[in-house]
Amino acid sequence: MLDRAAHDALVAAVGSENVISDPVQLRSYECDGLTGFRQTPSLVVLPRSTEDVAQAVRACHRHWLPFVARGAGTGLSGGAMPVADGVVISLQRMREIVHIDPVDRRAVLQPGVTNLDITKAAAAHGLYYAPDPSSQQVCTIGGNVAENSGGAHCLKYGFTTNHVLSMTVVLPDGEVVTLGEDTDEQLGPDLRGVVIGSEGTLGIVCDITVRLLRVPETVRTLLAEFPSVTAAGDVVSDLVAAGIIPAAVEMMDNLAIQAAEKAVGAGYTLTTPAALVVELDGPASECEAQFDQVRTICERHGCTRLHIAETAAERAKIWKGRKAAFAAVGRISPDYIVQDGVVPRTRLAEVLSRIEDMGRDAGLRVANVFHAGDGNLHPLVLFDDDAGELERAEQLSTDIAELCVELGGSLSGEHGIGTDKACSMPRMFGEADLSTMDSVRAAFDLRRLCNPGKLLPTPRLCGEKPGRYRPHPLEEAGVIERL
Amino acid sequence: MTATMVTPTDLRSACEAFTEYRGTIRIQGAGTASTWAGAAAATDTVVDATALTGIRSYNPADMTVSVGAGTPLAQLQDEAARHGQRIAFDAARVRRGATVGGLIATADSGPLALGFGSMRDLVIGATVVLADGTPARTGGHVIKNVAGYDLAKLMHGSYGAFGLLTEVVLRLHPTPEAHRTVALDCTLADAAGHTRSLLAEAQEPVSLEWADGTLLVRIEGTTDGTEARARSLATLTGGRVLAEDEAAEAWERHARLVDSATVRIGSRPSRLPGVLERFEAPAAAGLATGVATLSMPTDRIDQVHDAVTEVGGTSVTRGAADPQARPWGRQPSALRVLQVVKRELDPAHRLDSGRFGAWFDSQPGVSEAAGGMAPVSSATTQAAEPLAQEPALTRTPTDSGGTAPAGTEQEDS
Repeated sequence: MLDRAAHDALVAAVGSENVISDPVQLRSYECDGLTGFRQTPSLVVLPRSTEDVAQAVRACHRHWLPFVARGAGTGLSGGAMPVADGVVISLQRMREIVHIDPVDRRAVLQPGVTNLDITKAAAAHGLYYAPDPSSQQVCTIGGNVAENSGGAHCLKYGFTTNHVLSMTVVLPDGEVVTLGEDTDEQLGPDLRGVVIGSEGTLGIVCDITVRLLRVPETVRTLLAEFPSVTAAGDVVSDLVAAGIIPAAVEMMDNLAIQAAEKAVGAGYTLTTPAALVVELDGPASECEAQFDQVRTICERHGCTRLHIAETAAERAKIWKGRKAAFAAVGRISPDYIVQDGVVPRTRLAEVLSRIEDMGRDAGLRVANVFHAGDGNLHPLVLFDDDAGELERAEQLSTDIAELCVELGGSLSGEHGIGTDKACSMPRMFGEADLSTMDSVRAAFDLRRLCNPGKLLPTPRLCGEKPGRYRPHPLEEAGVIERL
Repeated sequence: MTATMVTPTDLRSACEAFTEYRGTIRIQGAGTASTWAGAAAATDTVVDATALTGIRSYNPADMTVSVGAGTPLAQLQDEAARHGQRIAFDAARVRRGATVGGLIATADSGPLALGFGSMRDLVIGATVVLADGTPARTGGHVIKNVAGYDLAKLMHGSYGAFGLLTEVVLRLHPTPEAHRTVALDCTLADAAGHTRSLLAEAQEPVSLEWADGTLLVRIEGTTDGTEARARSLATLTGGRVLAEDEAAEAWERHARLVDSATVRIGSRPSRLPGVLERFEAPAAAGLATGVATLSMPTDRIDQVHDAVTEVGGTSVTRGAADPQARPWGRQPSALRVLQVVKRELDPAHRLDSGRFGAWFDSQPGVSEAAGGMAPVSSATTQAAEPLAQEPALTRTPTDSGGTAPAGTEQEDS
């Protein structure tokens, strides 16, 4: 419970109509997309302007209240999970597209604008916003900045950090600053790039200026099936060796294909051991030449079926199968955990075979869906909670993430560290690395009130054990997927 | 004052350079930017990064390379080229031997920035030795990675204020099969008009620069594709497709122009021509990126700073400027954060590049010393109180404007 003075200060900051204190309503803020971690906040405030955010943060600072910024709550690492006795600052009422500038190709957005709405608003000018996390229909640009979101197309187009020019940030003591400039030229060190991907621990990002790109002239998509995951992996290697950077290369193994087919019937062959979705985009003359090369490479590696999308509808169908894979796993297993790790691309075959062994040892099945171009894996550990498999599944999932680090990769390619993996950070970073990050955090937030307990390991956090994974309601509805 | 020169050869000796030598330290690379953003500070010690060289790991199939930060980028490009790859980065001073670390520390970039961004977009991991000799890593060896703070960004444009880059991991791109350059002699105003129509097309130029009367547009891709695209752009603008040697010569002229600049500016692209037209100075202008370099006489650099600041842009002096010229047009909005980060990472204020004028001389939270800093709302100034509880800096501020660079320093060679 908040003390009276703190409560009143927050109500004064944003107005009583923008405060939620009803215990039942507070419950709907208890978790983000990582539903195994839950904590009901003491209060939720819903600011309508940057000034409101600043006033709310100043109130928290004055009263030593921890606070957590929240966008759509689709994050998968518990980054927006509330803090005990803390305040949630929801940016859901700041959803204005402030400005679209077709000449300088940029958009100014409030943090609650959804990723897809940026592209929708830019479409009239033949422009779009490139990063496209799979939850793009609902996830917000503010959340994208916090997590440095990527998406299926980030091998070619990069991540949020490559597309944000500047942003207004409310620092953890309530000061409002602008990070970034009108171009990539910065005045000194690039603090904008430090805050992007900092998972809401260095301040609350308000107005965000993003770069818009011209819609590519052509998009070509194909679905290719292979007799083995290795063959599919060899195709990806050959694409790279041929100097082709596809807009996207996605791989699914048989378990994932089975699940996706059961869910959406996208036309994948049920028995095929592996499938690739390859997408090229760009000027038509470039795309066509490279697309022929992609086909030849697929055929060289024993492709058993090659389906080229001839229409936008066919393209959408191929992607639907791929995007449904996560939630669809629920159709072949009562429960599952989604993992997110990265290995150097050349170690894909090795990591998959190790994961298979580890799954066998644990007596659990693992389905694999991944962004093959950049080595970003999303192993899905299948288990049955009623059969008492939860603990084993969690252990296997953690072991897989840590295996990625062992193979020279990363604990997370896109879901973030949040609450979920903070305790694994020492696997990837040494004490000096982590303490340096902590120094930077201290520079922004000396009182440790801004999303505390996330990203960097703390003894208190690392003693806790998460609950079981439960699919996000939007995921079950097929609106978003786990990626 | 004669500085002690220390030349570490590996991470261990780099750490020792900071723990074994006392006093203030300036980090130096190949010296290709030694007069950028003002005069280098006179310090007790100069750490020379140019022996931190060599490729540490390079697996072409992963399209990533780990390299000593003192490695000249041109050398790395040669190695990558053997595998059909490149660092998609072409700042002018790469030709003069600039190091990977130096290019990051100065936030430099070249014409390819339109297509591939600057070093900040290509760095995926780094090892930094902090002022107290602590080695800290950030990022990793994979392109896709969101674990932990991205402190390589903090190093980008830091001019050595926070630490010494010892190792850098970069992402590579395939060398394109072909490239073509379309050239058109035209005024800046016409070039700006052409830029708008060029960008409305789907030909995706990787560079678009107006350099002293000529608009240069570079496209890359397959042999047949680039040929067709280049012809289409030439038709659109009334320009012509350059032969390979002509194109190389045109871009070399562009690089020479950039090398002789006294000031670099950045503004919203549509505002750039208006700013440049106010000055009759040789200029190379990225009309799509909004970044330009100008060769203005030193006594008029202040006018450039003011004109750019007026349109909300950035400006900083370059090598050919008198080191006594005002280095930056304005301060960043979040200067106070930079000051506190500096205090956290270098509490004794040992690392002194001299490049930020008085930015780091003032104490965080003391507003009168921080010029254009955004004020905290007056009703809640107590909010900033913990940041104002600042330990006294052990460093004696020196007036970099009045101190000549130490004699042992290497200037541009």
